[in-house]
Amino acid sequence: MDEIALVESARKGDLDAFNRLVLAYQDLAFNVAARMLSDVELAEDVTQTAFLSAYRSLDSFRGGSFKSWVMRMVTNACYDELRRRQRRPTVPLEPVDEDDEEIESPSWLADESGSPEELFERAEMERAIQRCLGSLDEEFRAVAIMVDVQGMDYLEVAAALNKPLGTVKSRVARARLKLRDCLRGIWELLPSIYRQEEQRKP
Amino acid sequence: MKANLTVRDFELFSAYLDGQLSPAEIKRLEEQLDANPEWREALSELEATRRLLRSAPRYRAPRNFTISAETARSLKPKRQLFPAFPVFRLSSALAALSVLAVVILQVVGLRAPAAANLVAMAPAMEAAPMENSAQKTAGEEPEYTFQWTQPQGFGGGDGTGVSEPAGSMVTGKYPSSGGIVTYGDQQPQPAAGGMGGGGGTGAIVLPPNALPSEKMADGEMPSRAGTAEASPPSQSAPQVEQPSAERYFSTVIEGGGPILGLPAPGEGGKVIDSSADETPVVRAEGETGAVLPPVRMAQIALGILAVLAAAAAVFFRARRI
Repeated sequence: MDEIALVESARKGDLDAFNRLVLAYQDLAFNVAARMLSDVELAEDVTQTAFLSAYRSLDSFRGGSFKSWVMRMVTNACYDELRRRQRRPTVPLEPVDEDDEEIESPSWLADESGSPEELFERAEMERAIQRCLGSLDEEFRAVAIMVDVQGMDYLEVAAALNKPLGTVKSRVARARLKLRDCLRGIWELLPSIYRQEEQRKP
Repeated sequence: MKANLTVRDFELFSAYLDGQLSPAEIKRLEEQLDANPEWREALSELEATRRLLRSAPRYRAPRNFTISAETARSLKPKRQLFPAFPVFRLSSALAALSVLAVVILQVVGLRAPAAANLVAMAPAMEAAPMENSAQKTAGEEPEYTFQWTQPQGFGGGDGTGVSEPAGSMVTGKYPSSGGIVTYGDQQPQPAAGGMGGGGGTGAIVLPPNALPSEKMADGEMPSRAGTAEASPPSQSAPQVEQPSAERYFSTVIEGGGPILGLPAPGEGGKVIDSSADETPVVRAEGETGAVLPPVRMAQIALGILAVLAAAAAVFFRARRI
């Protein structure tokens, strides 16, 4: 069953159809939330909240990209959480084990393959990327996460953020400029990663 | 950032890397890149940043976020709480329209009634000083004297030169000065006779020093034979601009010099406020304020509606409904 048919069934009250859509987008939603909030537990809560909001608001879906519509729920829930969190301490994105030692290769990372050195370097790079994303303003961070980290299309992001396409283009460029300056150190610190990425260049 | 590159250039680079440029834009940009090694280097750095971010690890959702049938049932009634919420989405528009209606009523709707109110206020203002005069005792603070006139055919070159204002003298206590203010009623009234010539309905403005207020209270009116006699040339009836009651109500008069509004020598800084605490005016407003005109009532209702609609808009916006 394609996405449009699933959405139609869900709007008619078919919970299974809605849950199939949830399964299709939950990784993307959780990734965006985790990157936005730099907090795994909060990201879990926010993702659940976003899907509940989506289910409750199915009647207001007016067609178009369901992915963008769901991501709007996610980003709105993230913005709400960021405002609430200003008064609360946060849990770092890097998970720790029972002895409060950082886990170098967390089980929730999608890519666990590679040698110990590669895993270490990847973990270092991950920390640097998350630190640099966290240094951006919310609007720039959301755009950078969706376009650069998650590889979403400009139009999808514009629909998700309810912003004009030109605004998204401008924010992508400005976010990349800031991230370039912030990430310059990681290239010098971990040149092997940079070389690997160069080799992967399409 | 390179010295010769702007944010706009980087926006072009970004769009280029993401395949968002038209063929013509790509051609133009590539020509510039070939001509400027610095541009090529900047593009390369931006491309490396983009590639590094794309290589960032992806997370797996730690659990499924599917909704159970029980949760779904608990969510359904919530949706019924606002069965007409599309209507509430119009709250902000309703608030804006209500405020607009209030403003329009204020500007257009109340202009004529406000003028009519001034006419209606006249008898009240005439009655007020009577009471004040009765309470007046000699040696008290100087009086503030108002002269209420109606159109009476001043000027106009009929040669009579003398006319008496039909309106009565209005006196009242005024704490700061014995200045005299004359209200020229501009409302055309059927009883107003002798209008003509130069339209000389002008107000008689008398210098307080030249005319004791006690005398005014007795009804002895100054002769208007030759208006320049009692007032400066600028107040000659045929030439002077018709003074409106509203203007006098809202004007702060400084000093008691021969020219109203200009301080007499040595009286600079002495302020006579004819709008703030005048007993007759307050009394008149109090009497007319007892029954609000329908337009004012509508304004208040619309104002309340605007506030409620705005509150509803904020509420539903906060709930993202």
